[in-house]
Amino acid sequence: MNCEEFWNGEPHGLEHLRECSACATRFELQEELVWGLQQLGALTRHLQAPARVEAQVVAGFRGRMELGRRPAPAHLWWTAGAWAAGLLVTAGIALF
Amino acid sequence: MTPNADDQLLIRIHSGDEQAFVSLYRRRQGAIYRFTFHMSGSETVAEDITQEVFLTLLREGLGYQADRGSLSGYLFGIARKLVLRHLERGRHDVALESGIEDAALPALTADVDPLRELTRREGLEALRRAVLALPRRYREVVVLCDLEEMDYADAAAALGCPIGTVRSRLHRARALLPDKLNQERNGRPAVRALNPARCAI
Repeated sequence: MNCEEFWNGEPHGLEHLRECSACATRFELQEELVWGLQQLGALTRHLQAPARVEAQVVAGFRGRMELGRRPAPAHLWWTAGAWAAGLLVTAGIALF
Repeated sequence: MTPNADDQLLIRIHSGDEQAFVSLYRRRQGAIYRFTFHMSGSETVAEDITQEVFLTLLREGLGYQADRGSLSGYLFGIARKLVLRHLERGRHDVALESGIEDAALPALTADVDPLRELTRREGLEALRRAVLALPRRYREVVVLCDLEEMDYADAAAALGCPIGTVRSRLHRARALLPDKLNQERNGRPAVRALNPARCAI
């Protein structure tokens, strides 16, 4: 097995580490990095958004629900206006 | 709770159940916050994006389709887009406003060697900065798979790419990290300091 095959994840690759000191060093380095990343992950796993973020999103939820319950007056006025304009135009055409 | 519990909560949210929304928020906010914190290096950005993710869910939650992936993946997808937008805006201004706060570290006990503890803290802080210095596509797999210990399938769903891509990016990221770490520590021997048990001191 050569170095490339080892790093491409060939089965039983660990045998290669006994023969190649460069790969052994690099492999040990990566093992320690993964260990360090696990430590870093464990150290920060308790981090959470502060309570004020929850308050903001809950306020957003309430606002959205409130909006959903209310009729849309502007929308209704536009609809009524469009109908009235349509009727006027129709009546105008009929008269002239 | 089963994984489908998120979907159940979402159904209740659509019918106006505030408690369901709070439950979903509490289940998922921590992971979203940590992801954005590790990606941006900024607590403020992480707060803003976490908030925006859940407000976006309220606005666009109907766009989520359970048969195309988990709700968690959908939320990570929103967070990722917002982080990318933030990083694009401040490409030359990577925030490093805080390190690992003291409160985040376990308290020192009598049997802890203060010098080793300091070495460990310095090592981890350097590693955090090295992760931040990785190109974005490598950083996100390290954050999800190594820091958050997410499995490859979930990470692939969150990133919207095949599992093989996650594997290869993680492999490449781990290969890049030693150089980034050495740059962070100005050429000092870096990785050894991460493991106090192997320190020669």
